[in-house]
This record gives sequence, structure tokens and C-alpha cells, in this order.
Amino acid sequence: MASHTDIPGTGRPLVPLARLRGLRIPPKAATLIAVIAAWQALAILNGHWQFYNATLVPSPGGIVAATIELWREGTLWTHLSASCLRVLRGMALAVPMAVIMAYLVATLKWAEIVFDPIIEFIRPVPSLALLPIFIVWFGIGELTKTIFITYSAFFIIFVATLEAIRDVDPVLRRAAGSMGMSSRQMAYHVTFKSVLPQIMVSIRLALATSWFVIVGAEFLAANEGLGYLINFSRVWFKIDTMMAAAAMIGLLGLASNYLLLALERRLFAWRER
Amino acid sequence: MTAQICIEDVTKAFPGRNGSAAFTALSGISLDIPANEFVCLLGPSGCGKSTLLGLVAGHEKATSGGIAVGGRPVNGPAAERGMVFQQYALFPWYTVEQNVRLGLKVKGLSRAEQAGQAERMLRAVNLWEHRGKFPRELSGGMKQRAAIARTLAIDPDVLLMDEPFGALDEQTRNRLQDELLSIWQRSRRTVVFVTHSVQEAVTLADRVVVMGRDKGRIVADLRIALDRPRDRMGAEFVEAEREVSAALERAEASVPAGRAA
Repeated sequence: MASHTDIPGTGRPLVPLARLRGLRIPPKAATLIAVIAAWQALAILNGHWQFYNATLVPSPGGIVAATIELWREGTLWTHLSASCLRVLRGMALAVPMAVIMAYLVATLKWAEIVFDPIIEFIRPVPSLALLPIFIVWFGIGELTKTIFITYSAFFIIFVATLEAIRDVDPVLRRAAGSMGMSSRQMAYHVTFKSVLPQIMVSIRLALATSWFVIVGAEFLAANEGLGYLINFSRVWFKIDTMMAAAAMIGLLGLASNYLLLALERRLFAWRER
Repeated sequence: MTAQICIEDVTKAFPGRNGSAAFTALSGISLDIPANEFVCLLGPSGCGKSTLLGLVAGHEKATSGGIAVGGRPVNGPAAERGMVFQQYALFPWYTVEQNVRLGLKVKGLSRAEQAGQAERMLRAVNLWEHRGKFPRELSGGMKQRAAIARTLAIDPDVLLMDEPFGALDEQTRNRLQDELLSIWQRSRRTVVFVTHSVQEAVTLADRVVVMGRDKGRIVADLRIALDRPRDRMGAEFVEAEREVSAALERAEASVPAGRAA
């Protein structure tokens, strides 16, 4: 085993090492572990020779220590759950709104005429540009942050769903008609079933965007949340805490992405790949 | 008794794009099909035979003229007029059995009736062992058998088939033709079958209607009076093929005046 240790960069992946120990580490996880290990090694070397300022760039170990410190104080959970709840609430509103709106615009001429130009006009405006306006309108409470996430996620899901509905194979619609389906039955058995994979992909993309923008919202208007934690720690020059919060967001994004990917693979086994 | 399918002086024009002239696919087509007859619509590609079938199915509306099936004017698609497509049109998110049961569910059958009817149909097309598979796991021939089972399970009065075996290899095509005939002989119904294969038309049909390139004009209306099962190599069969081929050649030669002035 000793002959196989610390050999990143030699082209030999860490996987055989993991196998030797009876563990199965997926190659993608090995990538992350390798990067963190290299960073930690650099920090240890820096401890001896001081070639950069360790206060400005904390080591992975320091970041973990800061995380544990936050957890001991009891604030980690407060900030983490605050951000998570905001993202979930915003998404819970955005998904049904976007899907229903896309269905209306795709199927009803008047809905397309009324909503499509309005949506296409607002869509290019970055949500962060509207955040100060939302704060003026809705205050600095949870409502503003929920609306903000909903706004940021809505367009991603709306556009993907609309395109998907327009791409539904017309032969399937004709087949459904000749099977005697009503338009309601067709909406479920053909349109909805057909676009569900794209809806799931767009939810995954919208979720990533939500983690991205919630931090911005929490900089400006929050008393808790990971974005607030970063901004607050900046005032006290606690860079390890800032990094801990940033890493937390990265982990949340990564976890939600892989969770949804796994769900997609289960739900859409019927797809031709 | 009036015919099962009455097509009377039907014209179908598609509006041109960006103000260009309309394209007339069919002009003044009349055709009566009695109940339980197996009719093949034969013609060169682009002659409008699929368009005509789409009008009978109710997927498109005739520009003028009328179509009635079972005495009722066609006004959109309905389960009484079952359709089988060249592209199979199975719902890829449902298994073979779910595809077949869906039409029965839509029809309002109880769960037990759905299950019984689906099993009968899937056994009839030899797909019972594959009932749990998704369409992507099936070969082309199996997909089309599943699609035929799905359509016949609903027990439509009229079966419309749009080049259903056109994408299959010859062996599979011959086998499916035989299977379709044996199912049809057990429970007769009116079939309108679009094809561009002379052999297919002569194998299947009681009657072959040959359409020309000239806005779908009916060039020939031939009766195939051979007993079934038909021997594809037999002298009478080959003679009938020759007759139909000659009509098809006349159809090919007819002036392609599809574009209206």
C-alpha cells in the first residue's frame, strides 16, 4: 500500500488504492479528494516556508475547523437551513407556475399573445438587478427572498418546458386522438409524459441558479443564511468562515444536482440513450 | 345499404408559405368502401394517399367535400377509426402492455376488462412475453405488432393503416402481412391500407385503388379476387401483380400537376 500513496500527477488514479482498502470510491469523487489533498499538502509546506499569507488563503483543514466551530456555536444549522428553505420555497412556487404557464402559452393562442411578449421582455433582466426593487416593494423579509428565487428559477423552467411542449412528436398526438383521448387525457398521457424529462433537467439547472443567486440576496437583505454568513465574516476578517460557507453552498449544489440526476435515471428508464 | 366509408368530392389544399400559391394535394376525390372490405390505396409517393387517409382519420380537415364513416360525418379523430402509423407511434414512456391498455382505459373499460382484452391482443400478436418492455427495447417488427395490438384492442369499426410495414425488412413485412390477414379473417372489419408496394397490395387487398400524381386522381380501381392465403409465387398472384403494376405505371405517367396556378 505504501508504494501507492500520494502519487497524484503520476497518471495513476487513486482508485486502485481505494480498492486495496476494500472501499469503492467513484473516480469523480477521487478527483475532488485529490484536489483537496493537494491543497492541504500545499498548506502544510507553506507552514514551513511561508510563501503566502495563510490568513488570506486558509487550508482545507482550517475550513473544516471553522465549520466545526460554527456547528459548535449552533449557527451552522441556522444559516444552512435558512438558505435551503429559501431555495426550496422559491422552487416550490416556480416549478408549477412555469410549467402551467408554458402549457398555456403552448396551447392557447390568446395566452401566447398576452404572456409571451411580457415574459420575453422581463426574461433578459438579471434577477439581481431587480433585487433592490423587490426589497423596496416587499421589504427585507422572507417574502422578498422567496419571490426573488421564484423569479430567478421561473424563466429557466418556463423556456425549457415551452420548447419541450412544442417539440412533442405530432404523430403521438395523432395516435392519441385516434385512440379516442380527450384533450385532457392527451395533456397528461402525451404532453406531460413527453416533456417530463426536460422539466427535470430544467429544475436541475434552475436549482443551480438558485444557489447562485440566494447568496446575493442574503448579502443585501438577511439576518441569517450562508450569504449573510459570508458577508458578516468579511467584516470580522474571518476568511476561513467565509470559505466554509462558500464550500457549504458548493456541497449543497453538488448534492442536489446528483440527487436529481439519480432521480432522473430512475424515472426515465424508458428513454433511448 | 350505404357504404361504410363515403368519400365524396374531397379536395385538400395546404396553404402556401409566405403568400406562395396553395398546394393542392387532392382534388375532387370520390370513393365508397363497403363494410368489411380490405382496400389498399396504392400510388407513387406524393400522390396524396396518406393525406386521404389522414382526412378519413380526422387528423386533417378537407378543404371541400365530405367524408362520412358509418353514416356519420368525420369531424376530428375518434376511437371508431383506429390508426396504425409507419412510425409505430407507441408511447415510449409506457410499456407494451401499458400502451395497449391505455386505449381501453380511455374507452372506459374496467381494470379487469382492460387486463383481459390486453392479454388476448398481446397473445394474438405474440408479444405477451414482451409485455413489460419499453418500445425502445423492441425491434421494428415487434413495435409495429404492439401498435397493431393497441389499435385492434379498442375494436374500431374501421382500421386505417398508413404504410405500416414500410420501414421493415422484407421477411418481417411478409410475416406481419400474414399475421394481419389472419387477425382480420378472424374478426372482419373495414381496412384502408396505404402502401406503395404492388406485392403488398396484392397480398392483402380485396380491392386496390390506384391513385395518380395528378392531385390524387383515381387511376384504377381493381378487384383482387384471389383466395386467401395467397401464394406470393403463384401464377394468378403474379398475373394480378402485373395488372396492378400496369395501372401504377399509368399513375406514375399521369401529369404531375399538383401545384395549383
